[in-house]
Amino acid sequence: MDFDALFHRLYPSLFRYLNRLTGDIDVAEDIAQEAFVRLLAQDLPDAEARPWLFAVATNLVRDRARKQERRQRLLKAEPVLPTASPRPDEAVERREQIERVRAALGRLAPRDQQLLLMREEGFTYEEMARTVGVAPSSVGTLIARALRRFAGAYAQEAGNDPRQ
Amino acid sequence: MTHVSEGVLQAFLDDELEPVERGAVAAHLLACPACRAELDRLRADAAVFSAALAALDVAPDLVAARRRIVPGPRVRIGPQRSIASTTRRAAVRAAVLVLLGAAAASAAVPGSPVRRFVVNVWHEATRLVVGTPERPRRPLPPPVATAPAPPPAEAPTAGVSVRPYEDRITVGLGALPANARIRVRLVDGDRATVEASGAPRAPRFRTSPGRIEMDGAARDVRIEVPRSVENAIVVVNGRPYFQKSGNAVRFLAPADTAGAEITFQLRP
Repeated sequence: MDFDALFHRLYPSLFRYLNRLTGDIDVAEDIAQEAFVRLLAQDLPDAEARPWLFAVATNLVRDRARKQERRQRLLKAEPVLPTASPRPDEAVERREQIERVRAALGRLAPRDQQLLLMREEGFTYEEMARTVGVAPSSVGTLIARALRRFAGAYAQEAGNDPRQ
Repeated sequence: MTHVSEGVLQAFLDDELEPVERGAVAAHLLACPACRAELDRLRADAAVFSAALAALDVAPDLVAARRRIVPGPRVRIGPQRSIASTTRRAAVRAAVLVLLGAAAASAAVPGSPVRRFVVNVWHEATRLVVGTPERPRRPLPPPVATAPAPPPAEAPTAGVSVRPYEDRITVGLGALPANARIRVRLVDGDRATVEASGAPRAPRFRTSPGRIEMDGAARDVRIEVPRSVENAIVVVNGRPYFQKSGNAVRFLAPADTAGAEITFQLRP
């Protein structure tokens, strides 16, 4: 396993997936790093490294979300949904656009989010089915319905914009 | 007429059907306006999703990420050492340290046998090697003040990628210096990628469906264009350099080719 080749082939895609899934660049970097470190301890054939890496990274996201939820409960605070870190140089319009996308994505079930985001990274139905734990024959239907729900939610979020 | 289910249509759209089933669906679509309309709707939903996601994307800092994952130049791939082996090594190191510490402490006590032994060995060694009593050492020259390490001269490698939109990829590169090198490669994947290195400051990327724009004084830009995309164009500092139309590829500026890679070297 040539680590550098593997890193350059997989890291950009994994980071993009995690950033889209969590809405937090720092969390995405941390989890991508941890997943890669775990990959180094494995002895996987090249073809299996990518689905393995994404599955581990998704589990790490879930673990982190659970811990955060527990912490929020302990603090008796309102649950905080992950949002994109605001940056001073980001235009207001861009921030609002990001919030709309995140809100629409947040209306999907975690499994549907994962399927759609893995599809964007070019995974096959077989790989997605194995990672998510569904029958390969159901992936097409799940994706079609999730895309429809996202399109509806996204249109609704855009309609909520008072300027439109 | 039995219509095609939305799951199968989605799989048709994602090129996930076996050739025989794909042929059957294609034949059905020719004769069924309702399924064609459904396919268009699925395609539109997918396009909305891809376009919306582009707003979330930021370029990863690959150099920093690489450094964080494997801090040193030596990379150990494969199963790590077992905990038992690591513990054994640590125990041996600790024992050696304790023995050395005890010997040093004994040698420090005046009149101790360890001290006498060390002094005798030292005098014998000096006599054999130098032949004369040890001379006082010359004082070491004062340490030369060294300049602090210069800050990194270049921003880390950064890059973004997008999927084609309506079978088209557009890459626009702006503010490139006169000596920049641009390498374009046709790849088997389904995403176009732009990666820049050698820039004094991190270049700025903007993405929208099927489009990547980059502004920055990068000296080395690598572009990957999916072989499967119908139309692709690379524009550098406002001038088209590379165009793909179907299977035909055109260079609109002087270029070197090596294998599947085309290199453009900007001239002052």
